[in-house]
Amino acid sequence: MIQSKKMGGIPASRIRKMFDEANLLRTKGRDIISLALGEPDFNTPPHIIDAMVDAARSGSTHYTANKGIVELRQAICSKLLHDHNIHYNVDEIIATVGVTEGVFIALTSFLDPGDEVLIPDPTWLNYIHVPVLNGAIPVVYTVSQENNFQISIDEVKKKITKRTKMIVILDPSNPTGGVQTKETLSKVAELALEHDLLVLSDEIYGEIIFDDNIHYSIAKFPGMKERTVLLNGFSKAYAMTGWRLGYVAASQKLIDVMNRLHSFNVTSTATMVQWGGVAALNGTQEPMKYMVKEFQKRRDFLVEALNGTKGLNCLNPGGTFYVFPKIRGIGMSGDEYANYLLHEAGVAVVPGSVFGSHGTHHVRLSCATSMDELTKAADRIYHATEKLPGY
Amino acid sequence: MKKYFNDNVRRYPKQKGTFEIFSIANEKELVGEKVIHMEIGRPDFDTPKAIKESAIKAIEKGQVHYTEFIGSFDLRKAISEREYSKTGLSYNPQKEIVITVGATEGLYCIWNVFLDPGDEIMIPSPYYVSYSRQLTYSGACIVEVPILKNNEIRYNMDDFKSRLTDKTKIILLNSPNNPTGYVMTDEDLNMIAELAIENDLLVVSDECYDSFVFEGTYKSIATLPGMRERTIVVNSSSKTFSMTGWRIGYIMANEDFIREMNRSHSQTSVCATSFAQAGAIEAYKNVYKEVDIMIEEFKSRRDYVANCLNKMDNISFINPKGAFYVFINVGKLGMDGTKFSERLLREKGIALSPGISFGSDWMDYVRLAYSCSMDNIVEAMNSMKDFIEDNKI
Repeated sequence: MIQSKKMGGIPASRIRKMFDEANLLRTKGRDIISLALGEPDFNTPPHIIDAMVDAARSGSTHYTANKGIVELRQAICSKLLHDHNIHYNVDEIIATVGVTEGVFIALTSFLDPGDEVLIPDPTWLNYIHVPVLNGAIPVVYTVSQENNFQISIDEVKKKITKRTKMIVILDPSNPTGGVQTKETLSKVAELALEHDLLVLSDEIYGEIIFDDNIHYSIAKFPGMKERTVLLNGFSKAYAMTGWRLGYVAASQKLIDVMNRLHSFNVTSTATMVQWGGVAALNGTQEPMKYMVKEFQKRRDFLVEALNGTKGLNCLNPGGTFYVFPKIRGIGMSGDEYANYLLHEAGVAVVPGSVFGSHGTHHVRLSCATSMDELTKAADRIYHATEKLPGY
Repeated sequence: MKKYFNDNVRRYPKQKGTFEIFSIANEKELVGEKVIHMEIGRPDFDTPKAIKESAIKAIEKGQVHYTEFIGSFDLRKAISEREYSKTGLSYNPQKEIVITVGATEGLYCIWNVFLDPGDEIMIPSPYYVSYSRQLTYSGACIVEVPILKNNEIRYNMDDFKSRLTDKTKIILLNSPNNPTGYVMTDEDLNMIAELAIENDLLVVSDECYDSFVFEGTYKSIATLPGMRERTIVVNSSSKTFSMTGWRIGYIMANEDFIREMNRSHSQTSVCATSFAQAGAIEAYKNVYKEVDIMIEEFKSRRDYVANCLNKMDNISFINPKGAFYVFINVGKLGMDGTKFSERLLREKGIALSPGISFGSDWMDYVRLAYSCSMDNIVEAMNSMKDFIEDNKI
């Protein structure tokens, strides 16, 4: 086998398999509604598009500094100061090819073979794959519905060993939609300080927050900026998935080493894309607020519909555009249920086990589709589930 | 605080190279001094208008979402067709091409998929600095094969054979070459093909400068019998279409290889920018004339630079046949390439790359990129001539 051993540790994507199967049914003429997507259905706000167009026409078509244009990094610093009251300077920011690249360089810069990294379960899968690629060991801690999708501090404590180098937190979380409370985060911060851990804080859904929830960043707790790698981006809040723009914020000592890897890995992010990012942060925030409101309406609808369906039990997620119901009452695993919904109801959802063993009895549904489609999907789910014998 | 950084970071070489020169150049510019940048290879041409307008049309039509991770099918198809018309090689756009964030990410994916720690990769030296930095992270060992002797480049079978071990897995080619501007001959390509087939090695062929050939036509090693299945071609739109800031590159190989590399690619970047891909479709389908004009311009710059260098005493260089670099030996001036670069920058405001950035044997060399404007090139050549005369031993 010519493939490297480390790639051998990465399984094929099961979400992808789900997509392929849904597409196969579509080609056979089935009407499939997909609630499997991880990207907003909105278009990027027009003032952001205008900024990209101006940049391309005026010749912003060549490499930028590896870390990105100063104007963008300045706008990111202002945002972090405004939202979280954390002071970063422009040298402490790297513009990345989406958060995906940020995750890659953050983990690859700090993990050696044999190092342990604490990962939530359920989690976004790159947090398992990238440590494995580096020969490091992902050690999972539970984030369960019973605990309101909060990080279980006692469990984290028990799992810290001499080899633990980093803890990853997804806040708000894909797939659970859970938002960590200030209290939970302060306890995580305490542990990080006590055991000298780095914290990777993935805040890509940080702007998509509902009700009276507040997104805190762990980097703002005393002593934490120095040991936190903060990741965020433009994909979700500004409907810019295809642009590929994210950022890493961290103290100088941590950022410089990540910047080396970033520069060897991709050189820099696309230039006209970065100018779009400047417009997104410096321009009007009204389109973003509108999208968040829409997501909230859809969430309200979907959560109510699912809780009114036999055997499903769903928390009201504090953020993101996902809903992550537990399916204890129907005598099926998440995998079986997702498969059943696809074939019986013509609705594609993602089985929770894709995100880790604690997702086994869940499925993930995305609200990133129109209210009409969502209504139709909820109705189909209701009727298909009613047909099940239960336990 | 404990030591956070991992071993790869600690292994990273610390000698003064291109990056340090670039930093000094930036410092000078910050205090208002003029610097002519010949240390970085970045075409001074803007991206052709048709490409920009295609990208703009795409974004205005709402192409702001992820494309397929492997890249938009239309772009893969356009690349496949251009490749066929250029080299006669046919790659299935469905399964044998991945679109990457520049060639840089493409190379990164290759190392990820094919190299384990301890594996060896042979690189004809001098070679492009970024390879060694990426490879350091993969844990593989670089085996440099010096091919530059007495100011002449020669691919000698024995030099390669004597360095083969049971750990050798890949030979990396880059023709036209950065930093020498050398274009591999048929004889060179045949020799490497023979070596690869005999010893069951993969060949990674970095063809980013394939449009920049000033005499004759470009030939890819993948066209040789038995080579397509063991060659991974890496290329990008950056140099060919003056699109460095768009970050569009690609990898071509057989289906099995591409499947794995696409998996790696989805971990590092998901996909390349959607509307940038739309711009690249226009480039590969329809943009020919602008490329020809640009190549002509580079050719006349090459002629001018070579002519000037020929008239300077105490230096020697390899006459470049492609790309946009010249590799110059300054050893006779009693200083190494790093010292030469640093002094030329501080005293004359001209930034070059120290040879040490291109392999361990090239202390006495500097690389000059003639991708800046003709006016700047003229000024730089005059200043360099003065500097060399002032520093005669």
